[in-house]
Amino acid sequence: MTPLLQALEQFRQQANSHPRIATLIKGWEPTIVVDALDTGVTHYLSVHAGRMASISEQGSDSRHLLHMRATEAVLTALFAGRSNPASAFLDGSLEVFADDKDHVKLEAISLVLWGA
Amino acid sequence: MASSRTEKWTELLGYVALSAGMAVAASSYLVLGLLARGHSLGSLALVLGLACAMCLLLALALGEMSSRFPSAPGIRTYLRRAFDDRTSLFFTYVMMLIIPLVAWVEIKVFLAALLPQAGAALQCLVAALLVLALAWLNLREHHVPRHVQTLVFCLLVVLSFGLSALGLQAPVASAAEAAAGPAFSLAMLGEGVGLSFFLFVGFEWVAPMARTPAAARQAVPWSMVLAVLLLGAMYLAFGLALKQALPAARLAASAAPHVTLGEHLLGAPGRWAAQALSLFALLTTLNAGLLGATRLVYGLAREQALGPRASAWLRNLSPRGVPSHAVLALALASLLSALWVIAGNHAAAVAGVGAGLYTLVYAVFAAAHVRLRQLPNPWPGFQARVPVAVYGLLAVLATCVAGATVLSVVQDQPLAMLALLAFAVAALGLSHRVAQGKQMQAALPTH
Repeated sequence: MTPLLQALEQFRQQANSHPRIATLIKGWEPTIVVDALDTGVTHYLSVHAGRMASISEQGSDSRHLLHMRATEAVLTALFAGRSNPASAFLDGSLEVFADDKDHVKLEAISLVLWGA
Repeated sequence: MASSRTEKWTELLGYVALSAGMAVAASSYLVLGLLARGHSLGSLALVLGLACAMCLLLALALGEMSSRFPSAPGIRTYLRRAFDDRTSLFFTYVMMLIIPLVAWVEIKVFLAALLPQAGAALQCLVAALLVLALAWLNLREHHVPRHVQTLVFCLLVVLSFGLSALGLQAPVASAAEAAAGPAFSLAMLGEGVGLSFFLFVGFEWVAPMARTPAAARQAVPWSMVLAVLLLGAMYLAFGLALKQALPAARLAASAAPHVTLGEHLLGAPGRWAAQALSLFALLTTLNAGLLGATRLVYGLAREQALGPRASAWLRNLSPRGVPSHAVLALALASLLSALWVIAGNHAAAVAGVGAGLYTLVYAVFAAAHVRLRQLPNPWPGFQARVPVAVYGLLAVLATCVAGATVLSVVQDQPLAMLALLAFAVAALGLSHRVAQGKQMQAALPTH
């Protein structure tokens, strides 16, 4: 298991066990495409029924996709909660392609989970 | 193959609609009226053409920067990477000052277009309802879908060009008036170009709105270039139509020149068409504008960049994850300022100050691009290939234009000048304190 996949799994478990996240993502069911720019590795994180449902390396049929891109090291640090996603986004080292509502949801998740 | 090409063009049109939709507003027609009043036909075409050319260069620079930092919050990221945190914060505060300025003028012109006979009380009530409805839609997470935004924008373009064509074909109100204008001077040129910048303000807000990595690399940069060209053509046609068809006295007396033109050309149906134009323009601007502004305020609050207490309050989220306090704060600020503008008669002056300050922000964008072009770019995307010296010249010119525009408005109004100076000092102090706090935090040992 790569460090990025480990961090994603850790993030999934942490989000699913947090009492506020289920309410926060109620009715929000995108597939989050996590792209490592330097290694070309892609992971798909499905959100379903108020839970971070699954992580896979297979493509997704979902019409509601949102993309997160950065180097593998930046992504790993973010999903492990070691670095601040808002700062990475502001700095231009994290790219997020989504509509406004999805942006707000992602920001809210990181604020609730990591307080940053 | 054909369908994928159609999808590509539809996607590009959607981004052009977002970019140009942010810039074109009901208040744009007020500014076009001011320009038409103060310039001859030739001089009007010159100032609009110069502002359009400068914005086109800027769109190319912003296209390169947005392709380099896709999805990043434009002003905050570009200036931070080009210069430092302090400079970036200072100009982000300036941008935050401009947002309510533009909102004031916008609401004022919209009400003048829609309810010209109404008293101040009724106008205040409608403004309050409008702002509260927008805040409620945001709090309930109801956002206008992008295809609706595109459709509304297309209707706006058709209506605007339609009225312009009729105005340009109409008998000339007064050939002497159309040709006449104040004697040409450099100050007048600077002020005219600065005011014309107001017409393009906001086209770059599309930069962080790409939905896919591919769109961020090509469709979004091109959309800004196309939006500026489209806006330039639209404003030029409408400005010349205003100057040609309306007598100077009617133009001077009008708070909503597009409605006056519509009524002058077609009677009541023309007035309705111009009122529809105001409504479409308001919808396209406020839909994207309020969302963008909310995210800007919320983002700054998350960085603790609005002072500790205000930041703590503004970063509050509703159970559904909506930055509810940021939405409410913006709604309240817009409401208070709209009431102030309705009660007084400051729309033209406020538009002038807003135009000048935004031109200054554009000058800094050009300077940031000069700096960024000297730094290595590991993943180059959109490349305009304009010599870097041209952007340096643009930064200097835009700074001069900004100065001329702001001074022309505040030179006779010491209170306004004092308020601007106080804001600049406060913003400098806050940006210094916040940047210093971050540096100290970064220097702390981590465990």
